[in-house]
Amino acid sequence: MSDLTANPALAAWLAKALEADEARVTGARKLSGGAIQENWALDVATGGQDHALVLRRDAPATIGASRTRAQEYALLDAAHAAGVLVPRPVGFCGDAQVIGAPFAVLERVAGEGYGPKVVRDTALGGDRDALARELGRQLARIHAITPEAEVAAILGPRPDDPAVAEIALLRGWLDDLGAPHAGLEWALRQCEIHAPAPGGVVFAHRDYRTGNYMVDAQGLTAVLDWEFAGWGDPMADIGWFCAACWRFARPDLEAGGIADRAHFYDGYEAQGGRLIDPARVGWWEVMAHIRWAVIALQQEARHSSGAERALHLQLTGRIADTLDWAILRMTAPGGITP
Amino acid sequence: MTPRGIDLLVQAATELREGLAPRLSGAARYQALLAANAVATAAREARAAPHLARAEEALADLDLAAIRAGAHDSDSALHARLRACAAIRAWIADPRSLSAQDRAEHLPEDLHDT
Repeated sequence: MSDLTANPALAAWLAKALEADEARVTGARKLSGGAIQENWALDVATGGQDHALVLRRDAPATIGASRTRAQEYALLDAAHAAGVLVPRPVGFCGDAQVIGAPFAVLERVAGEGYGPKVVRDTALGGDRDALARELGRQLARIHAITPEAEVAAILGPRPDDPAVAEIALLRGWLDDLGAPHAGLEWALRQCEIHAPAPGGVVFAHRDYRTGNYMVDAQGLTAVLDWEFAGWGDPMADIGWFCAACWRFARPDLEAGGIADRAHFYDGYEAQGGRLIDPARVGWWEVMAHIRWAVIALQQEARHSSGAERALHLQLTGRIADTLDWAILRMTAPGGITP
Repeated sequence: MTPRGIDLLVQAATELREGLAPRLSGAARYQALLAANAVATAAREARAAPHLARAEEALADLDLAAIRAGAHDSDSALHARLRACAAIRAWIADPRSLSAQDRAEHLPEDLHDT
């Protein structure tokens, strides 16, 4: 991957995608982050024009919840077409011969995306209440997407009851891990008892949280990480965004560690989102902790299986232990509360 | 692990975090802080080991399929046992993931620090 600047096949593919006679990769550097995939910053020159791009391809080992790069690209493309603030899609290359694996190329968006920093550094993101409202508006736009045939095929059948489907999915993931996790079993059962009745099902982002969008000094610059997008309860995205486990150093700011919930809710409802149902959101906040705990265990399993030995994966597994404690507090017999 | 062994880990974590990490930047600094966190976690796990073993022993005969099937839905005693075990594991992973009050209420006396 270090020879992206000296790869004629990549240069030819980029020239075509950028509608230019020829393209030259003048710079390539690996970006931090990306447990699931590798991101490379590419500087590309075509004629007299310079392009700042990002190339995304799979990391050495990927977790079960992840879609293919081609599917992720199609989902992002659909969001772009619907007017959601995303990096402009440039093209997808399914030919593994070009750089060794299929890859997507997007326009590079300026800004900071690292969740703890976005929460801590209030010089970022502009006015925080306005940022929360804007994130609410963007989510309402996502929930209004009506998938075209290609995207609908990726999403598969629309679940009748996303709550029941999510419980079944997480139990399946737990079973795949092989080791017993009694606290999570307990919590999933309590959530099952108190699951909300089926309601509306929409195109959902399914990983909409602080850490998965970018901000500059003025405000939001892009909504990222589309690989989990699919059918869902609209309140599940709201709950995932507000869940205590995604507020980083500001648990008091219930909308993603950046603002009070009211601003996020206002933006969502004003843009035509569904009416917020606090009880349903609360249930999904508890489920958010369980989902994150299972994903943390999956990441640890990437290390322990030998697929990718890494200390950061081991320590992510330890996060599941702190989540387990929080989850058991939320799921005492008799009712669940986030 | 002997208290001397635990003390070795505690000191190694301190020197990684306070001695080495501040002299580094970028990915190297991050790596040093991860290592400090890992060593400190191992020290806490060694300290908590006897308590954790007892808490896990109290859950040894648990039938997870029965929980899933609904046989323990109102079982407050089971919930309390699960919580006692989870509190120790959470403290090992990150003592600050429990409030001071939670540590006082839910952890053995020798695990109240952060």
